Amino acid sequence: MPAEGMGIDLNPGSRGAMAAKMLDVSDAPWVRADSLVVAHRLRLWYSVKRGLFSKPIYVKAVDDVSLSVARGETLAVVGESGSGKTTLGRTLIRLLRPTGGDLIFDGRDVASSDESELRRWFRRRVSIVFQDPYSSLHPYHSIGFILEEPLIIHGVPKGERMERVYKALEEVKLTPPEDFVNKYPHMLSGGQRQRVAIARATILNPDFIVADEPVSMLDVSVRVEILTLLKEVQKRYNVAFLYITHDISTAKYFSDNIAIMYAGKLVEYGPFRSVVKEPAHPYTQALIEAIPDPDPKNRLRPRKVAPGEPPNLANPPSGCRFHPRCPFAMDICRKEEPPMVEVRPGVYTACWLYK
Amino acid sequence: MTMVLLDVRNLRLYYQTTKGILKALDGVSFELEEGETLAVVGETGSGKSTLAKAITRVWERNVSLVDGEIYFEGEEVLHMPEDRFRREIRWRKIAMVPQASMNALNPVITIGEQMIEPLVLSGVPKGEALRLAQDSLESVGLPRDVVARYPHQLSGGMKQRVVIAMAVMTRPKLLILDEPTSALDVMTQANIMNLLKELKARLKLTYIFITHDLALASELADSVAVMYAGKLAEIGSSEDMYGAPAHPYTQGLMASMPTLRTDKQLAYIPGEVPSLIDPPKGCRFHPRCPYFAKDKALKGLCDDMEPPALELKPWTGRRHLAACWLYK
Amino acid sequence: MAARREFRILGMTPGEIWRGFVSTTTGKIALAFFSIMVAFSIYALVALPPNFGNLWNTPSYWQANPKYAPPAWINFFTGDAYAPQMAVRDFNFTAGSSGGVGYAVIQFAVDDSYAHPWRNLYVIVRSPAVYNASTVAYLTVERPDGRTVQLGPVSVNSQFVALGLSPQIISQVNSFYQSNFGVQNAVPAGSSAIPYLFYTARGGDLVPLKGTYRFTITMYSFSGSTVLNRKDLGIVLEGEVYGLMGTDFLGHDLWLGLLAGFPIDLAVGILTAAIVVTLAILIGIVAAFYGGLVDEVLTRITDFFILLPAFPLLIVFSVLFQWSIWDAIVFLAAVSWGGSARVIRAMVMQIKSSQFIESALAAGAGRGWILRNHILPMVMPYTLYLFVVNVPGGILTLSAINFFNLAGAELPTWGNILAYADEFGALTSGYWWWVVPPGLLITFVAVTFIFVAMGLEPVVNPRLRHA
Repeated sequence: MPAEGMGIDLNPGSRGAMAAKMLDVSDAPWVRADSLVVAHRLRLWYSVKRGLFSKPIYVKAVDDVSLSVARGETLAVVGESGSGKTTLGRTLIRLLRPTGGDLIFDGRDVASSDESELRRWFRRRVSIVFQDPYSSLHPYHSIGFILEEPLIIHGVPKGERMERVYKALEEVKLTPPEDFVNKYPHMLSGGQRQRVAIARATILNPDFIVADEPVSMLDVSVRVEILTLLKEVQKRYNVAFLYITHDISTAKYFSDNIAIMYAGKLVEYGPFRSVVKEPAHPYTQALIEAIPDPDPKNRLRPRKVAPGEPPNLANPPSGCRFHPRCPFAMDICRKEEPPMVEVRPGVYTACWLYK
Repeated sequence: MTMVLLDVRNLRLYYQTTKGILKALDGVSFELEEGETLAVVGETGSGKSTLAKAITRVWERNVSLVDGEIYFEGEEVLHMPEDRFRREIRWRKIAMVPQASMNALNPVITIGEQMIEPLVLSGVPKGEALRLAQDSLESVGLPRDVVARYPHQLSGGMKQRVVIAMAVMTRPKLLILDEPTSALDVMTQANIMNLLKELKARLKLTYIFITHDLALASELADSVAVMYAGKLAEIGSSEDMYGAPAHPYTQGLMASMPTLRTDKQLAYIPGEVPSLIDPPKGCRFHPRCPYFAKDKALKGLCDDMEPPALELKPWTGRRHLAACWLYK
Repeated sequence: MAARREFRILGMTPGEIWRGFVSTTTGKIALAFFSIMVAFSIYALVALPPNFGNLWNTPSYWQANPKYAPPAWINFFTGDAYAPQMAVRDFNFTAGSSGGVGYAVIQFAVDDSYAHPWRNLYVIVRSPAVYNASTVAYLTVERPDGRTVQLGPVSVNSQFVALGLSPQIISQVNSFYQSNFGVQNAVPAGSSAIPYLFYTARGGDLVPLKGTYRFTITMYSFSGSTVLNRKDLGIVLEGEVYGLMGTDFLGHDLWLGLLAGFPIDLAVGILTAAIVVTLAILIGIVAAFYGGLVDEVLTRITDFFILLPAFPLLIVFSVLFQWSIWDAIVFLAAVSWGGSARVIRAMVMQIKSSQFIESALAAGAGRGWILRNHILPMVMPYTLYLFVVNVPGGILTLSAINFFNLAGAELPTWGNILAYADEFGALTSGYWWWVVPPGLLITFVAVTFIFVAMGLEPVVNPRLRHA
């Protein structure tokens, strides 16, 4: 746990080294402690009370997750609903407060900071793009105000603001910007709204953007355009991305590394191509197997699918959470949670098959 | 030789809106053989959901024009009297699983009661209807006691199976599925697709499978029809469509689909889906068509006259038609 | 770190909101109507005496007015058939005393061209010395047909003397008709004799006699030599019609009453709406936004207020504490916000987990910013509706309060006037001037606020803008 003495940061650089020394990530060798974003044994447990007087039960949405994202890099976080990937994304930018574990951003502790502190230095360096272009923009705000809002909040002087708004609109190819500034979200298509959301996320030149299923609600022919736009943004501003999705195929075009989540836990991690080509964890294998490529021969045979459904996060299975559905389940899988081990250079997985 | 189960000729469906007449379907024609699965693929505004509504005759009230002919088992059903259609065709011969239907289950009634409702209303005794419902649930891989449960006690995948069970309960000949897996996880989706494959073989069903996902369509489709802005752009067997797409829009769609197992250069179609109230003159795709942009010879043609469905040869499985002047 | 942030509410600067409002036709109309109301209110406050409320309830102030009289301008449509109220100013006056008897001689002439002549003749003597001094009055009327009617003596023993119903005068007019026309009992029992001064008999029927009439009133005061001053004297002919808006059962000049209603009703309406809307928004938003214990507590308080039996309590309290109308209105408004607060709370609970709010939080927005710029705009359309409904609602609630004589029954509010109209069966009796104008004015206020809300709608909800 990063120690005392967390006052005003006069020298962030040295702080980073200091924090890295303090933060011991030796139990998670896939985590690079000097990265821009470092999460170590991060936990987010929701407490749910059944009734007014009963004991609360915990929904372990994110349970002991460690990962890191370096500057300019994209980490894809893949999982099904209930895997905890959405919660993880929100926790990394402190829309949610972690219940345990460490979260370091650019060397500074973020997990235990309170909101007013975060507002001073953290908020302008991270942002988020949401899945639903229809509800992530306030229906009563003009596009101009939507883009101006972050600038106003962070005290950008009035003269500079409109210039930056126009520039942001041009960068996402919503031209001519003068036209769009006075429009309202209901006048734009889904793809256009998502571009506005991206423009809003980038207008303060952040270092880290969480993209939560940014294209899954868009038409197929529009997805590629938006993904291309995200790649351009990344290149131009050297932004680190956390790309959350349930569709690995889109992640292929926009990710360096991939982390697979199941029932709140990290089950596999490694460079994207390597993991997808040779998935180590049975769940990853099942996930990849379940995704069809466009091939007319698909209809001639059934697809291999893992039976069952993801577990209830309030009461997950004992031991390895995937064991009820795993074709390779062994005795030990039912009893003990497997640790993450390196399967091949750079690829880590939590499965007793590889101990 | 299998017979033609469904013959749609020049189907048009227009809606009256505050901004004008919306031409949701504008002259769609195709044939469907018994036992064939046709995937209807399109994006928002393509008219694919409207097609389903037109065939089952459950369009919205602000319809301003319904025109064309639909022949089902040789008989014209689009202009059949409503109560005859309701008694004989809808939910008996033609069934539909609408979009997001798992959310349309009534939360305060048990599954069983919901399933037997249409049967009881048409006079089937309750006990027999319940037995039919349980049989149906079994055939979609659910335990029989689900009839006593409430929707909130079931997962998304189970609910979708219930809805499919409801649709196949009366052993229809034609089953229309409108985005049956859009709200489901990848693995649940694969499970449902497996179920549909199995039901197709066992109950000898003919499917119209509506989706925006070309990759998913290949899981089930014998033929693929691609719709754009209320019109049929291209139709052909899966082999022809996936192997050699002819219409520039289909080619664009194929190129913009990410594939996991193979590496390819992704492309995208610039521009936006056109307004259905004021569509572009001539071919509706021409403003976004790369061929039109490059080839001067097409000016005056694509932007002036609507292309008819032109046949491409050779074809396998079924006739390969594309509404594109390139194939004149 | 944040330099001075400019103030934005609903995502706009206050200037933008105003400009958006007045740029539409609806907004301009609303502004015009509202200005008219404010103008009338100011005029009422300026033109009417400050104790007008008390005056309204002093019957003696309105004695000289006809009761149930339609407005004077109906003469335009009836061809001058009805005699208007006439305060005679132009009279010859001589007064003096001789031999211990004070006397005064008043002479005036009136032109009667009306099918329905005056109903009564009032002599107002504002000098207690005179009317306490055994004064009598004699009246001589010279008719256009040459005949003269001699009336009197009538005892002038109070400030206000109504000549018409004096039994002496009634019998004298009857005998006039008897002797001149042979008509028996010309004056119906219980009626005022004065109109009959202006009639003649033709073939057994009484018809109006038009022409100039000369009146001479002679007053003698027998005890002490008190002399009447001209300025203390008032002569009023009670007309068939009266003023701009007619009169009611008590002779209230309804025009003045309605005018007085402007500031009161406007203030009541706006006050009620302001209290209800403010409390509803405040509690609804705070409960939903902060959640947890705050939400629990506020929701229970809201439930409590919803369950309060507002009217019974009002009855009890207003009697117990002798409440004025303002107390009553504030009380009712303060207990009526419950239902609306619930609705607003439900709206905000739905909104607060929206992604656009998460985006704002991620960008570093503070709670106040989110409340003003993200939550409030979504609540505004409903708020406008609340305002529009509560302003006329307040005015009518006020009239209900007045109706039950709970508080403020004495004030000339529109609701009050309507309440009395209803009590006295104005509509069935055909007294439309008593019923329609107050109703129209309440409607006008409602319409004004509807226009205000309509003008503001596109401002708060961009989806409704034309652009």
